Amino acid sequence: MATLNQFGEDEHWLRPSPQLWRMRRLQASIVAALAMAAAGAVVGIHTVWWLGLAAVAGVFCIALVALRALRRRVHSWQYLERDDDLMVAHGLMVRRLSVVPYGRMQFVDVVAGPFERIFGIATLHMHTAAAASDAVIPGLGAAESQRLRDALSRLGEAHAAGL
Amino acid sequence: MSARGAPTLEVDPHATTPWQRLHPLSPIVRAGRHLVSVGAVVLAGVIGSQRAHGDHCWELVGIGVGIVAGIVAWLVTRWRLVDGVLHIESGLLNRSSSRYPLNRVQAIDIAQSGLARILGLAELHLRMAGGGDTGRLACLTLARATELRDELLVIARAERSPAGDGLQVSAAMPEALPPTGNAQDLGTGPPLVVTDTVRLVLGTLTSGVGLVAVIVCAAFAVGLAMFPSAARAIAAGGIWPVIGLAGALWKRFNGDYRLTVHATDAGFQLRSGLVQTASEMISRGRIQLVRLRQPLLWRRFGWCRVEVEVAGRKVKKENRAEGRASRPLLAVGSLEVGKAILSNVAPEAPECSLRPPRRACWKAPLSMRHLAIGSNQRYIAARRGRLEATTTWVPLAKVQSIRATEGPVQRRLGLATVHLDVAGSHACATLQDRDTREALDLLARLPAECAAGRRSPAT
Repeated sequence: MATLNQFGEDEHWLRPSPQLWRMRRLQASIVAALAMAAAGAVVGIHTVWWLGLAAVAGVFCIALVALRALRRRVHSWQYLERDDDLMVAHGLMVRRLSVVPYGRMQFVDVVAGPFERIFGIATLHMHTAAAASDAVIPGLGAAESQRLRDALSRLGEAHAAGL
Repeated sequence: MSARGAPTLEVDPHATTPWQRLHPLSPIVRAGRHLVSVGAVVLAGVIGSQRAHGDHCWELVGIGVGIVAGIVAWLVTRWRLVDGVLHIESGLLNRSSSRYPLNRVQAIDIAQSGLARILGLAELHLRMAGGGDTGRLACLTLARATELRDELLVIARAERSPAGDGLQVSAAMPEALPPTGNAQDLGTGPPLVVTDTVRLVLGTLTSGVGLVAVIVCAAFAVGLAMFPSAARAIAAGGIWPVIGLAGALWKRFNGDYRLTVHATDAGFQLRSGLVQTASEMISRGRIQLVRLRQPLLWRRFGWCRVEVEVAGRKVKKENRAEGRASRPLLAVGSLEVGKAILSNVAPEAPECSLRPPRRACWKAPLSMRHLAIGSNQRYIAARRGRLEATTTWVPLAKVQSIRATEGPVQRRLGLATVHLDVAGSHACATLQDRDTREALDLLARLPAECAAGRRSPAT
């Protein structure tokens, strides 16, 4: 049966840097560690100590499963520069695919939070006049994000159209 | 240009007038819209509390502070004209001084709230090219406001004509300006549509917030009838939701009251309002999307509502119709009138005739009977909705981006949804639950068709 994944199968899609998964893994691990500590402390103090240990183990198992899902989710990001537009696809459960014509881009910005700076990556946002078109590419390496930003703004100027 | 037939004014465009204050009664008018809510709060306090009369000093202090603030605001607000530029200064703590170059004025509106009408006052709104910022002179006497508007217009034209930059708004300006604050007299030919008041009352009460209000009131009536002993508790508990609902209902009713639309080549002249009147010009190029809505109960009567989504920032206004990005062209009317308006706004708009595959009813059992799409070279049409059927027409030339989504249930059924976004906050046409192959085909051909639409704009 046809799925959205079949769109542009034979094209050369680009993917975010592997650093993105390392960063997400670190963030998720921190959250999981905090959740394990909290669950262990709450259950352990209010009941007996071995129930607390069981709670920690339970949260650990949940975290492992969640981490596997997160890994596949992070690896689902991909983007494709075409002649007249940029395509961004992501999502596992809900697959999303956006097409943003270069001529419609109002501006492009590159944002890097503290975690992203540690891992040397950045997130690229493409803004159009429509609030709903949320074309975002996370986890681009420094060189790639520069290249893409410059290419997009050059193409945007070349294709520019009024509202 | 001078279809208005007004006596030509002798105005020196480079004159400098002295500083002038607004009308002394303007604080009352500006506080007007808060008076209702303040009154409701005081009333609720009186009903809800067991206190003796005269024990409302805090309310009185609050009202006193409000009065003083209003007077101070009036004292520090002044305006003047300097060489074709309107200066407005206001604020005591946050002192603001604004300059409005009249050669960049897009339209000058006169608006009257209910209280202002009683006092014979009016507000002057300067709409500047580029949208967003609006110059406000609130309030002047109606006669002075009309006179000043004509003066400002003469200056605006004098400033504009020597430059010869041919602003496209100049042709549209006479229509953009209401002759008076009165909603009835318009000198620009027969209107395209005037909303019928009886139908508007019935329509408002049978859809959206009106229906909720009716249900809540019915529930209260039943509650009172069954438990007469608890009447006081029911009244105390119910007063807030009822006030909120009444406010929302009033806003909607006032915004749609006697909505009159005049169609010109440049665009649509809208005016509406029972107490707060508003008038507005929407040029055809600003229209991003047309929507035909048929709420559940309206379909029995064969009624519909037509709205357009307009590009530009949202501005908070007293009259609801003016403040939102989507403006009704038909508040409530028969389907034939709706279709007629649609053919004026979007000529050769396609019908929604392509149904989704039958298996879509497993994913969207309630909306299934409404789902359909249609398209031609210039428009995409999409119908959806569970209780309310909403049909959306998007000109391909206005599409900003295209998105496709495929949820887990859709993937099993081989379905996908395609959204066409237009400028605005979450304004889009949603082609819901199409066959995945069809969605892939749409994704492959729509970007090129939209680009073609952009290159050859509406003729």
